Amino acid sequence: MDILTELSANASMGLAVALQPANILYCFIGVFLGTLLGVIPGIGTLAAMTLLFPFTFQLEPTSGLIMLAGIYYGTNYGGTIAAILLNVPGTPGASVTCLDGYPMAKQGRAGVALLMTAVPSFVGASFGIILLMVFAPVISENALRFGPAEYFSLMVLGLVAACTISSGSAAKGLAMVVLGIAFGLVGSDIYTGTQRFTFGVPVLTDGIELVALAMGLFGLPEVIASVRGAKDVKLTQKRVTLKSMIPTRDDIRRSLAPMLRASGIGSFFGTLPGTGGLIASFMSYSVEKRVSKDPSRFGKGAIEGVVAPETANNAADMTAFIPTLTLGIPGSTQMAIMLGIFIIHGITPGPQILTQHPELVWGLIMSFWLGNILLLVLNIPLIGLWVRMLSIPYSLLYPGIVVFICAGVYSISNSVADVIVMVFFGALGYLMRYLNFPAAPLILGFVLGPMIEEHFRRAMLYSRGDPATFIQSPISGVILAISAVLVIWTIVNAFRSHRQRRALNEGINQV
Amino acid sequence: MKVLDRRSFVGGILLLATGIGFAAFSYFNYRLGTLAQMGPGMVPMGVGMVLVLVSAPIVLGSFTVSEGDRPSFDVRPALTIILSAIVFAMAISFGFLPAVALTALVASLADDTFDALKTAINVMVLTAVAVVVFVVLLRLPIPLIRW
Repeated sequence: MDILTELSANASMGLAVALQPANILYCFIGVFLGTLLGVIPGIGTLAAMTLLFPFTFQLEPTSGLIMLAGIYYGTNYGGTIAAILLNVPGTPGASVTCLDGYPMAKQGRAGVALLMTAVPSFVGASFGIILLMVFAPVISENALRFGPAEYFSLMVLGLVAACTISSGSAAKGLAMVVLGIAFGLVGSDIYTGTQRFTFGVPVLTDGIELVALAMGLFGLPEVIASVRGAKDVKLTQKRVTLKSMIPTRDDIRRSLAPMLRASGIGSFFGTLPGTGGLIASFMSYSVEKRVSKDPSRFGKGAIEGVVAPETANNAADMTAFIPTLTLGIPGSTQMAIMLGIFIIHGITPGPQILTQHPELVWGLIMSFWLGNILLLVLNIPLIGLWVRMLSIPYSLLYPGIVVFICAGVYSISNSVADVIVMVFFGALGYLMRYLNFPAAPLILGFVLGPMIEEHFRRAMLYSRGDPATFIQSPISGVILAISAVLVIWTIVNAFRSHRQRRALNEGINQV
Repeated sequence: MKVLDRRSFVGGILLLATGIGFAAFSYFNYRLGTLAQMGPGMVPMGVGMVLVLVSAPIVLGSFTVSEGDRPSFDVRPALTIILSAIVFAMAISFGFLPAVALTALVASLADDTFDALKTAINVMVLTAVAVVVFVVLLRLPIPLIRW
């Protein structure tokens, strides 16, 4: 009972904040712009968040974060629309939706597919929000006892897990994390004020600007890669009427169980570092295929194949907030950006955030619900607008994206130097893309780097220079041991299982 | 058959060199301090050394795997898009209008479906949108034109 009363008190406090007219407006703007950018291929969640960040900067923190979170989960809806109508995932998380969504569109059932992604998305998100509301206070309370040694170990585990669990070469991911930490060290040393790696450039004294780095690493290379790819746009259905959205009784019957299963799977993977929406949607898709009585329907427009990944995706998006808010440790790149933006607004996520800024946190969480309702209500009538967006040739769109990237980075502090920093990371990002090195771990390392250094040095200061402090604390010791096992496993794998990995990749491609 | 995966090899070597350079630069330029009282150079040097440690397996591993398909290097889009961002950095000192218009124009050259009329109209529309968004809505304190 106690938990329930606390929960409802928190919920009503959050609702009071989220339902302020200004916050409703910013939530609406957030999900609207998020969907808009999500529809455009070549702009993923990350690019959308960094691109629109300057717009939230001048708002007060709560409104700004509500809008930004709206952009974050709004892009998923947009990405799904592109996936179904174009067979081009607007966001990586939507790539699994292509498998059955596009065949459905080709059969003239695009309307049903769109509705049956919107409703399950809402169900999945609601499931994730409830878990977030229940677990955030519990974890925060326990984490209050953590000292610098525990934090250091947790961050190490977060980073290691992020690059070993995610797809692709784990060794490369690990190297990118460390490179990111190195970039994070640029700027004034927190303890002595010494300028490190700034080379006399004034704009670097506060460190490399997060938005400039992210826009460079993700924005520019993404545009460069899509210029060639997205040339001929073929829409399956020019018009999607409201009537065409009505699902058959059979569609509904088939969707209920997958929705529930995918909510659970998605919520679980969302909390794990380095997995996020893509892995969650992939896992729930393969689970549905396995439990299905007739697996051969998958890939040919099975409704479960659309419902399951979308539910999981959105549940994962919500539960990803649990470690980010309560521990200050982001599990995904999107959450790393979110964390960075919290910090820019002067709020440090961690166990204290719930006691220090309860209205902000609960307001933000309740706004997720508002945002998801808005997405559901808005996207059904607005579908025509998104379809029209999709038919704009990419050759007219991408110059605009470049302009917005440049002007957005410039507008953060009206500095040309930030634009130059962005150009540097743009070139680096394209080189990395060409050499097949992942960019996402670099961002995670970059955001966590300064915090890792701070906790490491503080722990060493407390222990008078004895590194055994990280093992003597049982919590920290266990966490480090897990990290060490993951690293060793990674290094062994780098030498060995290339063949296995390729088999796995082929498996992924086949589903 | 065992072939060299060139992309992993080159990337790994670059990372190795970065790690060595980073550690050496920290060692020579910043005070290391002691383990209990760390100076500004200790952690950067450590990070540089860890970078060497984690990129070594990439270089070694690149000898034992078979090469995957090699993606094409999109020279034209890559150079044009990066150039257009540099153009923005240079032109912004003449004001927002020329910066936005020139960036949009240069970026439009990235694909080979160049159409003078379409591009001209697109550049004008984009400039107008950018002005409305950044100058009118965001109130960016930058003159439209400055000589």
